[in-house]
Amino acid sequence: MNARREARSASREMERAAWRTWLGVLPAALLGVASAWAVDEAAYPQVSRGTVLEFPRDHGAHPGYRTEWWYITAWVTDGDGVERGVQVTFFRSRTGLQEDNPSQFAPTQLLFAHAAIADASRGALLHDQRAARAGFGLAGARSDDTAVRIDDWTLARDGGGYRAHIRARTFALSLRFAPAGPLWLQGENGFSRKGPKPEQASHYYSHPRLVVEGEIELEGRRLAVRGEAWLDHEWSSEYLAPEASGWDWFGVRFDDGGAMMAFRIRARDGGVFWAGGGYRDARGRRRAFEPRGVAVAQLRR
Amino acid sequence: MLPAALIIGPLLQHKTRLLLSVLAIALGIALGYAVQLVNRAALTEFGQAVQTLAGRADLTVRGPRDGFDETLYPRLAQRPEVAAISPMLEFDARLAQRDGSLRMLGLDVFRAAAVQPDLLPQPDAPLDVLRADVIFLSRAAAQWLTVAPGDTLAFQSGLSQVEFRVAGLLAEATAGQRLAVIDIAAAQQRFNRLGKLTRIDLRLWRGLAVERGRAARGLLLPAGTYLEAPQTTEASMAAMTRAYRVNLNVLALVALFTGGLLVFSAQALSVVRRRAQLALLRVLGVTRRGLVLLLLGEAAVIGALGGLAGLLLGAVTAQVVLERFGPDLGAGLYQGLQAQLQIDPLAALVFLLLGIAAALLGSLMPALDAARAQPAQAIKSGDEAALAQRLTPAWPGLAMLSLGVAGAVLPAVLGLPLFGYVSIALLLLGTIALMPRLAAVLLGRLPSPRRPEFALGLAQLQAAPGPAMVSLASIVAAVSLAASVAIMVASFRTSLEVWLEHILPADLYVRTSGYGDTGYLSAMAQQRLRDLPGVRRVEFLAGQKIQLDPGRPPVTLLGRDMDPRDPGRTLMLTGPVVVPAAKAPPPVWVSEVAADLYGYRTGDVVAVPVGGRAVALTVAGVWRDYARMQGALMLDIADYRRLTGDDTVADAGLWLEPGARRDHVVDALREALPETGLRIDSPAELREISLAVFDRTFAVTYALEAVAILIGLAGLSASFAALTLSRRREFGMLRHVGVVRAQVRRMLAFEGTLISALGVGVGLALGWLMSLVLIHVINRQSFHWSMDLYIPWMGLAAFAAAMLAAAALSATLSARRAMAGDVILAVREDW
Repeated sequence: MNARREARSASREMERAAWRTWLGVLPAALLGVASAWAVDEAAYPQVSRGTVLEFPRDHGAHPGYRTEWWYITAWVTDGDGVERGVQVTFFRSRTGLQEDNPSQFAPTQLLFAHAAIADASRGALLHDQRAARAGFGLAGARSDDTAVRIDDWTLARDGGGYRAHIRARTFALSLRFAPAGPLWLQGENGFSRKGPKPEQASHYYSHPRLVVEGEIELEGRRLAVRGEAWLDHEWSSEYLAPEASGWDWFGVRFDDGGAMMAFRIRARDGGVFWAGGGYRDARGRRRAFEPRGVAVAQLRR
Repeated sequence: MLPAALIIGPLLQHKTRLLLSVLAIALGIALGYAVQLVNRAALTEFGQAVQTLAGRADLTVRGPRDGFDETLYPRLAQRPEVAAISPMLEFDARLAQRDGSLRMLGLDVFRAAAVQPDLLPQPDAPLDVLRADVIFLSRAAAQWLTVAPGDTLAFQSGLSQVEFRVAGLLAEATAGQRLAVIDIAAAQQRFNRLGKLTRIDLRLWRGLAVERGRAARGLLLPAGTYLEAPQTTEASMAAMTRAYRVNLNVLALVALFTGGLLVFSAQALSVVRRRAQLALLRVLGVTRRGLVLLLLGEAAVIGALGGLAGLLLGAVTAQVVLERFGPDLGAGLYQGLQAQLQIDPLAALVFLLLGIAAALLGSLMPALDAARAQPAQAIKSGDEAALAQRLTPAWPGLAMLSLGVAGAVLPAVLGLPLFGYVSIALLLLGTIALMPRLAAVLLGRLPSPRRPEFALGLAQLQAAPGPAMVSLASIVAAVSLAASVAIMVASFRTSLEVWLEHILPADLYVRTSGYGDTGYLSAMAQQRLRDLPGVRRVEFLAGQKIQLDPGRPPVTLLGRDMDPRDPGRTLMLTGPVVVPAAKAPPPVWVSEVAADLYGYRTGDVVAVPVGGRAVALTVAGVWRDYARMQGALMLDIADYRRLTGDDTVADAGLWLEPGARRDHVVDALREALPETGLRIDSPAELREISLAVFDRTFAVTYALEAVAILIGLAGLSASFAALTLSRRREFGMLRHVGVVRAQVRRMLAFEGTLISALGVGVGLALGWLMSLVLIHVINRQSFHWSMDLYIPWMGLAAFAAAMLAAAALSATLSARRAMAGDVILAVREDW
């Protein structure tokens, strides 16, 4: 009995992971765009092994690096028991362009945001995105703590948790996220390798379990929702190597309180360029996966 | 079959006259249709340009040409009713390698994507749209500049140059407009406009009425900026060109009118010639009504032929004008637009009907006269045409003349001098209606000449002036129209010359203006000019565009060294002057256009948006300005600098030391300001340039004058021919009593000359009167420019002499034709 429930939970978790992968498709393309919005000639700092992340400062933006994102995926249930996937992502990109231009419009930092609501039972995905150059207080990312915005799309840390407000064309989100445990430094204390070269890496930490509470607005209806969420914050100057074409990402929360993250970076020639991930058990013990320790197999079409 | 033959047969008999009638109508139609087509093409293209620029915006915030503070952008962006917002820095950038300027749009592509998707560049590399040295061109701009992606394009920014790499083209929606898109930050920095925007386009959340949004934010906008719905831009542009178009259209109507007059004289002649034929038709059972319809049918054919030819000619002319001169008809309103000719079937139909109507009206009187004739009488040769035989009462003519004078004092209607045109038409018609009376009175006072043939001629005219009235009418119309336009143009040109003399007192001019918004002389450049060896004094002219009324195009705010006690030294004042008291707001001298459009009167204190604030100024005088069609406000340059915070200037006038050589100074100047982009001219050269522009603009009026004269002469010859033909019996009688052929010819030539002299004299007097209406009513109300009356005596005298000679010649020729064949036999026609 118990085992079956586990199995069902596991299968549900897998389903959720699949949803997350699907949800990931669009923002991944967007990240591709975001990294295309940067020149090669600018002097970007490299992430380095051994850097000790300090909080709350490292919750904030790292504008020197080429790319950075705050990535939330959530699974929420409304009062009628309908489950929906929710995703909110903010990207920051340093273009390396016009950095000596005193104009307030100088496009040195760009911000991209993507938000989506997926209704698994109906197979519907609503999504919207925004892009802006930082400036005038209308768009930007603060460096001292998480506070990133594009107009009325905001994500900010607030009293140990997070708040997100999104007003999209076909839906709206107003959610609070409270961490149910400590944050999880990925890789080697937040240094996550993304390729064979030392500079092919990012700083990366996660909040695998956040308790979500808030409202979504859908088809003119306001729904109170509750659920669980996962947040990633990652920054790098060289996330995707030139040989890489994209990546798959999996995050699995186990009912016992443990969590697993796994990713693989696809090579342009069709193979796997790099892989990685980690497991943290309910008591907070971490284990990082070696590139060869991650294998992905498709079970269902 | 028979009616067709009856219509076409006589038409073919008199090919020259037919051709002239058709031509006259064709010219009128062609001019009107061409103006219509060109304007339609321009407005369509302009409308599209407005649409692409505004995109899906519900409202556009605009401000003075040199922009407003960019902090307005975040303030508006945070308003709850704003769904999307796109800031823009829009200006005309002067090209470095060639004359001319290109409309430059500094865009934030991320913002424009939601508001003006048609303006987004299509780069090969996405990052190109953010590079400071990259430019995207519309297809029209790329073609105009003959550049392709990868090429370099240089612009003038201040006195230095900035270079851009052409990285691609804009979307196809912009293809017809010459414009370029660069990054907004690059635009601010590289064209020295940090902190400035010129427009912001807003999209509101659906459901929020445009009006409400406007009311909500109208209060928040700083002085000098204003909100406007994109569609009003188009409407105000259409209104702006209206006066210009209506003027050209009236010229077209004049051509049509003279065409109708020509049809009148040709048909009058034709009716006289075919009197017997027509009478035969009546005898054969054609009713009066049928005869009138037959003759009107002839006229309709002439009108249709002329109309069709005119439509064709008009379309070709419009195409040529659009290709060679662009769609602005020389008025300088639609710069950088490339308009496509679109044939307009409805307008074509209207113009065709107008041509037919003109011909029908022209032939109505002859047709009625022919139908009135008794067939039994008329079938015999030699019956006089009853045409214009009766002396009409004087009151209709007098009434029309007085109404004409009254019309001249009425104000414009919707910015158009409609009553002015009515006045001119009434003056002309009234005079023509009064001509028989006038001729009878004037000819009756002439002493009888000694030579018998001349005495006979005068006696004939005194006793029966009626038949000559057709000739008189056409000559009066032609002469008065030609003379009035000639006097108006001469007055304008002379006034312009005098004005140029007045405003160009210096020895040398250094100019950066007139080529977009980006050329100027910095404070340092100004000092270098002052320090030039051989230069005694330098005066500067600064200018920027400001918007006084959202519904109107911006006016020019100028700054110049002014002496409030003697502004007439610098400006050509047209009214009283006030010297503001010490504590009164600073003086502003407004141009006539500005005074007319905005109702400014000397002594008023007005609020003008300068430098982002509403500034109170005392209107200290009104001055004449032929340079700026949209109006200009002149400040003392010290006030200008203080109020605008702008110490750059556009132009400088240099006074040289006595004995200083001009070429030395020019060389020193080029050395002191080595950057390109300066024009150095003497006042004489500037005068020449201005007058050349003037002459080019008025070329079309010269052409129309020539047409009017030709038509007048053709009408004269036709009516003389009719006259002599109807008097064959009289000539035969004269020959019987011993008068020789040559004497008859001389008699006719004398009559013709006398009639012409009368017509030319009255025509000149009427022309003078009409020119007063043109100058003081029509031009003033259309363009708000005053001018002084100058009569080109020499030109008018030469014109009158030529008209007289041509008229005498034409009379002699028709006499010769009338006397050919056996005139003596003609007597026998009267059984």
